[in-house]
Amino acid sequence: MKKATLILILVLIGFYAFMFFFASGKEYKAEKAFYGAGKILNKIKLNPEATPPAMFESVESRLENIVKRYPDTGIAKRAYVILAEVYITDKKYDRALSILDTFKAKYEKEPALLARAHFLKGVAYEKQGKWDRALEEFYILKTEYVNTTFGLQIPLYVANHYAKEGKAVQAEEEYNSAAAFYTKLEKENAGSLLGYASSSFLIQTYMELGKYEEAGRVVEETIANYPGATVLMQQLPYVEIIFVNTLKNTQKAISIYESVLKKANDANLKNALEAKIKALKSKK
Amino acid sequence: MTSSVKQNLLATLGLIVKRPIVLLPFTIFAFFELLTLELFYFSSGWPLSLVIGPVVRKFYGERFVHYPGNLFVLPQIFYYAQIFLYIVVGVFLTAIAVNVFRNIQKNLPLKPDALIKNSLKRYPAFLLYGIVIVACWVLMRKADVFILSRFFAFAVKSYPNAVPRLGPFITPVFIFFTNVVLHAFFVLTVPIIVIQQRSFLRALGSSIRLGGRYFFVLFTLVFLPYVVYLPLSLVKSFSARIAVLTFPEMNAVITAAGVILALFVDCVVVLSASRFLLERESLKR
Repeated sequence: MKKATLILILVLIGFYAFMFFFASGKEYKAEKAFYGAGKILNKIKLNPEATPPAMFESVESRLENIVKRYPDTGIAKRAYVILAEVYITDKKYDRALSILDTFKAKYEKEPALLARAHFLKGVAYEKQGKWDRALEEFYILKTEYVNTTFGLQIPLYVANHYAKEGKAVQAEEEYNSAAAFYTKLEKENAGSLLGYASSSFLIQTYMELGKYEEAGRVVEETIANYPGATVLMQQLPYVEIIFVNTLKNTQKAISIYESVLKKANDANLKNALEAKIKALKSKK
Repeated sequence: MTSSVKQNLLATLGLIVKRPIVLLPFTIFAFFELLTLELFYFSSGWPLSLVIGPVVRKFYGERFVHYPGNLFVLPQIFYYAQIFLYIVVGVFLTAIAVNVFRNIQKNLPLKPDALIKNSLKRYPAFLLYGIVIVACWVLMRKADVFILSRFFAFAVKSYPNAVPRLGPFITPVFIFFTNVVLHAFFVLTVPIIVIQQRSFLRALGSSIRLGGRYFFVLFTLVFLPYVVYLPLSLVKSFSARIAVLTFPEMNAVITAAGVILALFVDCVVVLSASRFLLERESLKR
């Protein structure tokens, strides 16, 4: 019995050792290392300003290790981006810019990654106070990567920057320019994902400009032109914010809800809409 | 009854200490389980990822193919593999253990070839038993979920704060008790097939009948060894949370601990049930 048990245990240990050395590929080791870094990063995110420098150094060295030891893995892409973000949070802007240049050179054929790299470079320059250099990066995003999330948000991001800085005239100019940009893009890409995303940014831009009538019109058009559960989930709150809370036009909100209700198939959505209509009618 | 539950359990434990060979079939089963666990543990790496990866991706999603998602889904995947192993090998090895026990009790020689051959002859019956007991577990689990959901829906109205806190403890304990009750009715099936050489259906019928007639004895024979397993059942139900607080590999450690503990618990349960049957037979004579 003892001998048999010992043999079975040895087989288990041997199999474990074999698999550990031969079946744990670089990708898996990189994922493990990335998870370790991610755990520390989550703690940093809670309060970056109060994070001790040792914690930053720990996460930075772990991520640097991943990009050095496992450069060709899928996780290395994420490690580069996160490392750049950590450097920016840790105010090590030059290191962030340097790693982003390496990243851009390495993944020059991947537009989504390149767009992110340009955006992060822009943010690093912005935090350094080099707004002109940041604008150069953002311009590349706006012109060459418009069909990426980062490229699409840039006009609004730039306008928001001026608004935050208290430069009202420049902010309004940029918001108007963003509105024109998103309107044109929506028309050119009507019915596609890019068209829908442009509509969403256009609504936000009009709201920033205080043009709620315009924003409401775009919401109404978006709901009509892009039918779908996800679109409704994202757009219906705007009906409440714009028509009910801001414009005080409950009749319009009711008519939109009723038109959506006619086409809705989902029971939960129907119930929610009926409840909203009932509540709005009782308010009137 | 010539011996009480206490005497039965003490005699079984004494036998395990004196003749640890009775543990061997359960050890072999635990070996297969641990080997399977190791396979799933390394399933994210090449070459296992080629076979297991697409299955995990299809049923759970991309993130569960990678670290640490693979370790969070490990207990669940292993549970399905365990069910398969139990039906295919587990019941068969349990039958060998009952044979070993009977031969020891009757001072018969222990010849491995004969023991395996004997059990192989009845393999279809063991396979059927495995399928029936797993089907009963699944149905029982569904019934448990239904009862618990009704109970919590009712209780939350009166104790809105207590239910979220106690719910995670009540659920595994309730499932544990219903499992023990179910086991009390089925535990004699394999010993009856092996010792009394009955057909599967007759053995199943006798086991359920005896389970009803000697419910308290059989319930206690199952419950006392299983109670050792209860703390681990609770730990298992919190394993995902424990893994988040410590490290993801903890899921595999807890699962492996469950396999090792089950080896001893199952051995005591099966042998004490077999002893109960043998004693009943000798009383009849």
